[in-house]
Amino acid sequence: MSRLRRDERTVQRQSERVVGSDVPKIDAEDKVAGDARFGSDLEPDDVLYAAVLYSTRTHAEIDDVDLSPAMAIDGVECALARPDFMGKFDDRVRHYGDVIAAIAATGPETADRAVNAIDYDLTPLDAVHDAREAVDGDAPTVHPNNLDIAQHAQHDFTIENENYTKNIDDYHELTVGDPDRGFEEADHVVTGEYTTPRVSHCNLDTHCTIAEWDDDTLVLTETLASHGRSQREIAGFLEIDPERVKIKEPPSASSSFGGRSLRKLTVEPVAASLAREVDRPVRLQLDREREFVSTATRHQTQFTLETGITADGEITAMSVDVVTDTGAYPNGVGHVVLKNSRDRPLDVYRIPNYEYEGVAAFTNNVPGGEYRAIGSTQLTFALESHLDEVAARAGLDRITFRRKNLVEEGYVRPHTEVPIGSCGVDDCLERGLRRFEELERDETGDPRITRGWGVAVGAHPTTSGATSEDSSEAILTLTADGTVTAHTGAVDQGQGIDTVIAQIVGHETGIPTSRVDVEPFSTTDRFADHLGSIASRSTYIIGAAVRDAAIALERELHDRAASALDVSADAIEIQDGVAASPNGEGIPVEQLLSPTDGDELEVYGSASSTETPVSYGAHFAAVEVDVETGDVDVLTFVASQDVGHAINPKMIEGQLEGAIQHGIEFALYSELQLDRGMPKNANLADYPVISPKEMPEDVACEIVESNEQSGPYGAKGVGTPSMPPVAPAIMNALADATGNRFRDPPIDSETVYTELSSEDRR
Amino acid sequence: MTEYLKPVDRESARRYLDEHRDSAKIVAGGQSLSLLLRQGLLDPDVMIDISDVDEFSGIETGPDRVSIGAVTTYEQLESHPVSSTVETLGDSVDVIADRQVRTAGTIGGAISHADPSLDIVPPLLCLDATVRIGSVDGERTVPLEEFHDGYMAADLAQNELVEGITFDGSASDWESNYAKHSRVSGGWATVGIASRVRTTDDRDAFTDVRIAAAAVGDTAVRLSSVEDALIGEPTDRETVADAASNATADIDPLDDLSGSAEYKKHLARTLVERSINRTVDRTGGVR
Ligand SMILES: Cc1cc2nc3c(=O)[nH]c(=O)nc-3n(C[C@H](O)[C@H](O)[C@H](O)COP(=O)(O)OP(=O)(O)OC[C@H]3O[C@@H](n4cnc5c(N)ncnc54)[C@H](O)[C@@H]3O)c2cc1C
Repeated sequence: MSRLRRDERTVQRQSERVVGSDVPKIDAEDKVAGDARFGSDLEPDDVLYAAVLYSTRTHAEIDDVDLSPAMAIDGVECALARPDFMGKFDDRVRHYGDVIAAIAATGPETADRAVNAIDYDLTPLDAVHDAREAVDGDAPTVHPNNLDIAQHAQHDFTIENENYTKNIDDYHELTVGDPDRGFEEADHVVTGEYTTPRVSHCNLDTHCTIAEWDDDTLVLTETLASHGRSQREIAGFLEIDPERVKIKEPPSASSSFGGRSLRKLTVEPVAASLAREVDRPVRLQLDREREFVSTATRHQTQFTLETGITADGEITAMSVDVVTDTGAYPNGVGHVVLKNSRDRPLDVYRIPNYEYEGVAAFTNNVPGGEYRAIGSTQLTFALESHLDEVAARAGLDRITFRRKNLVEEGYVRPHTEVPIGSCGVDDCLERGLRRFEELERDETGDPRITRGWGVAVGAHPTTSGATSEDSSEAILTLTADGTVTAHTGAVDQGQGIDTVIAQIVGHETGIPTSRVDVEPFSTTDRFADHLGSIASRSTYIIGAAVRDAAIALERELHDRAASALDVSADAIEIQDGVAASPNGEGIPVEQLLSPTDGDELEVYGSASSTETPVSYGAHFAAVEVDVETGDVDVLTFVASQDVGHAINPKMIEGQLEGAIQHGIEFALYSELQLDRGMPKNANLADYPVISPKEMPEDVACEIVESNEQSGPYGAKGVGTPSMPPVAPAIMNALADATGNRFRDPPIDSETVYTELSSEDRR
Repeated sequence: MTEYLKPVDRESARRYLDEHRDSAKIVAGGQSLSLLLRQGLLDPDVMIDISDVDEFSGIETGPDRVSIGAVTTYEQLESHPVSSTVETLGDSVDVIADRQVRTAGTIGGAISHADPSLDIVPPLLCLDATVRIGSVDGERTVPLEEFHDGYMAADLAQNELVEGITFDGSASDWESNYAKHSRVSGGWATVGIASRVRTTDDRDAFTDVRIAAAAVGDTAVRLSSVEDALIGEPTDRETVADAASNATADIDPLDDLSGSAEYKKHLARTLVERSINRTVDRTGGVR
C-alpha cells in the first residue's frame, strides 16, 4: 500500500484513511477502567454454584461415591457422581485434576463444603506418564473400554511402525523424494534431539461457564473462541444433537491464546449435567490450580531431527520424528501438532528429500490442547535450533545458510500442488537484520558477562486448514441513530478483531469507526461461521466477509443518496457518515433509511478461501548471560514479520510483543512440571510467568507487507505466526553466548550455571 | 462462621487476643494469611485485624533508634527516608513481590510469618533489630535473631503479638546493601544476602561487618564465618572473594523448586561477594 501524504488525504474520502492506520483499540478504555464485563463477572440471579471433586490420582477406577453427606448440607441442590453425568463419562479418572463428582449449591462456599463432605473410594490403576512409553505394547491402557472417547475425530491412518502399538491418539507420516539417497548425497549429516515443555496459557480470567437448559437446548455463556467445533464436540460428548448446543459470548471475551478455543471435559459437560439435573442455570468456575491441571497445556513433544547438507550448504535431505503427549483425553489437537510439525519444515525451506513420522499418544498426564501456533511453536524451536547446529558443523554462516535454502513466492512445495503465494521471508530476514544491527550494543568489558545473538525463521498458516475451504459470513445493520452494528463470527479475546472490523466497515462505507458497534458472537445468530476466532483466521476470513458486507452497504447507500440528491451513484462520496454530491449537498446516512425497511438497513456479506496462506517471520535476539549465576537476560529482540498487509500497525506490534513474551517464557521460564503425572508447581507462586521486567530492553517490530492476494487488503494472519520464531531465536543466542546447546527448554539459571561450570567444559 | 474483630487501639488488640488465644489469628496485610486460608491450612474461629491500630503503625526515628510499627506496610517503608539512609532496607523492599503486595503487606506480618525466604529479614538481622512483643501483661523485647527459632516458627506465646521492631539506625558511617536472586523479578528469593559494613577512615579495612542470608535454611541467618573473616581485613576484592567462600559454613539450604541445595550454596557465595563489594563501593573507598 502506498501511504498518502497529509495534503492528499484531505481530498480523499475519510474512509480511505482507516485501514492501515493505528485506530485505537475500541475496547481498551472499558478494559483499562475495569468496566468490561467478562464471563466470570456474570452471576445471574437464580444461578447455582458448582464445585467439583477432582482426582488427586492419575489413573484409577471409581468404586464408590457416597454423596449423601454432601446432600445433607443446607443449600446443596444437587450432587452427581461421574458415572451419572450426561454423555460419555465412565467410571475412570485418567489424570490429576480429572473429575470424580460435582455439586450444585446456592452459594460457592456451600458447594465447596459439600465437595469436601463427599466420601469416595478409588482403586488405583497402573499409569503411564511418558508418551514414548505409552505407545509400547506393555504400557497400561488409558482408554480400554471407552473407544468412543479414544477414537475421537481421528483421521484414517495405518501404522507400520511396530513400536507403536498402544494408546495411539493420532499418527502421521510423509515421504517426499528419496530420503536415503538425499542423505547419501550429503557432505554433512547432523542429528539432534529436542524436547519442548508443557506450558500453561495462564490466562488471568480462569475458565468459567454458565450452563442452562432451555427445554432440550443447552445454552452455555462463556468465552469459547471456536464455536462450531465446540458445539459439535460438546454435543458429541453429551450425545445430543449439535443444534441443541448454543454458545453465548459474554459482553467481553476473556483472553485465550488457545486456552479458550475448545471445550474442556472438566468444564462444560460437568456444568451441563448439573444444570440438567436441577433445571436451573449452573455456574462452574475453576480456581488457579484447576486452571493448570484440569484444562490443557501446550503438548509436551519430543523431536529427533536429522539433516543432510552439501559442503556449500544446500539441504539434501531431512528427517523429522515426533512423539507428542496428548495426555488423558483427545480433542483433535494431537493431530494438529503432528500435521503442523510435518508441514512446517517444507513451508520454510526447500527440502527435496524429506521423511516424517509423528505419533500422538494417550498418557495419564494433564491433557494437551491448543496453544498459540499449535505444533509449529514446538517444531520451529527444534528445527531452528537444529539448523544452527547444522550450519556450525559445516562452518557456514547462520543467515547465509538459511537464505540459501528458503522458499520463495511461486515455489511449489513438494507435499502440496499449490505454489506459495505471498512470501516475505527474505525481506523479513534482511530488514530484521538491519534493525538488529542498528540496536547492537557496546561490549560491557565485564568478565562475568557473556553475550550472544541468535536468529530464527518461522512460519504458520493463516486459517486452520482443517477443511478444504474456509468461509465466513457477516451481517451489518445501519440504524436510525447512524450506527452500524456488525454481527460476525469473531470473538475479540484481546487480539483486536473488533477494532479491525470497525476499521473495515469505516473504510468501506465512510461511516466513522466510532459509530460501528461490534456485537459479541452468539450461535443463535442467523449466519454460519464454523471456526470462530482461532488459527489467525479472524482478520483474513471474517474480515473479508465484513468487507464484502461493507461494500454492499456502501453501494446501497450510494444508490439511495443518488436518488435523494438527484445525481449519479458514482458521484456520491460518503465522509464522516454524510453522503455528499459533488456540488456539496449532503445528507447523513441515517436519513437514507426508509420506513419500509423498518428504519433499518441490513446487509449480508460472505467470504471464502481455499488457501491457507503462510505468514513468515525472522526474529533476532541478543542475550546476556551472567556466568556466575547462570542468569539469562534477553537484551534485544527484533521481530520482523510478514503480515501481508498491516490493517492496524499498532495492534500488530501488540501481537508481536505478546509473542515475544510467550516465547521468552517458553525458552527460559514456564513449564507445568509433572512428577509421574502429579503437578509440582500448579500455582502462580511456583510456576514462573514473566512480567515487563523480563521483556528485552530493546524491542523492535519490523512489519513486512507481502500483499497476500487471497486476503482482505492483502492481509494474512499474525497472532499465531509471530510465535514460533521467538523461542529458537533466544535459544540460538544462548548457544552463541555460552558455546553450549540447550535442547530442552525452559532453561533456568541453574541449568545454565551447571552447564557452564561442569567439569568437562573446563 | 469465623468472627472478624477489628480493634482500633493496642489495648483492645491485646485484650481480644488474650480472650481468644489459639483460636484466633492476627490479620495484618493478609498477604500470606489469605493463601493459608485458601489452601485450607488454617480455619480460625476468630480473626483479629490489627491494621487499623494506630499505635502499631508508622516509622519513628529518634536520635539513636528507629522504630517501625508492626502494621507499617512495605510501601510506607519504601517511601520513608530510612530506606535511603539504611540502603539495605530500601534495596530489599524494592525487590519484594509487586506493588499490590507491597501496598498491603506489613513488616510485622512478615516477621511473624517467619518464612525463611522473606527479603526484609536479612537487612533487619544486619541491623541487630529487636522485636517488640505485646500482650495484656505488657511488653517484652527479643532480638530478631532469637525470635525466629525454627522453620516458620516465632517465639510468640498464644496471647502475644508483634507490635513493632526497633534498631539503631543513627550511625551514618555504615553502608549496606541487599542482593537477591530470584527466578523472575519480584519472585521469592532463591537466595538473598544483606550486608552492612563499617570501614576505617581511609576506607581500606573493615572495622565492622554484618552479613545475613535468606532462603538458605530453616530461618534467615547471620553468616558469622564471613563476618569473622573480614573484620580487620583489607577491603580489596580478593579478600572479599576469599571471605565469601566461607558463606556455606553457616547455611543449610534444601533442594526445592527454586533450585538445588548445591546451586543455592554457590549463589550464596556469589551474592555475598557481590553484596559486600557493592557495599564497599558505597563507602566511596578507592580499591
Ligand atoms: C504474590 C506474593 C508474592 C510475594 N513475594 C515476596 C517476595 O518476593 N519477597 C518477600 O519477602 N515476601 C514476598 N511475599 C510475602 C509477603 O512479604 C508477606 O506476605 C507479607 O509481608 C506478610 O505481611 P502481611 O501483613 O500481609 O501478613 P499477614 O498475611 O496478615 O500475616 C502473616 C502471618 O503472620 C501473622 N501475623 C501478622 N501480623 C502479626 C503480628 N503483628 N503479630 C503476630 N502475628 C502476626 C498472621 O496471623 C499470619 O499468620 C509475597 C506474597 C505474595 C502474596
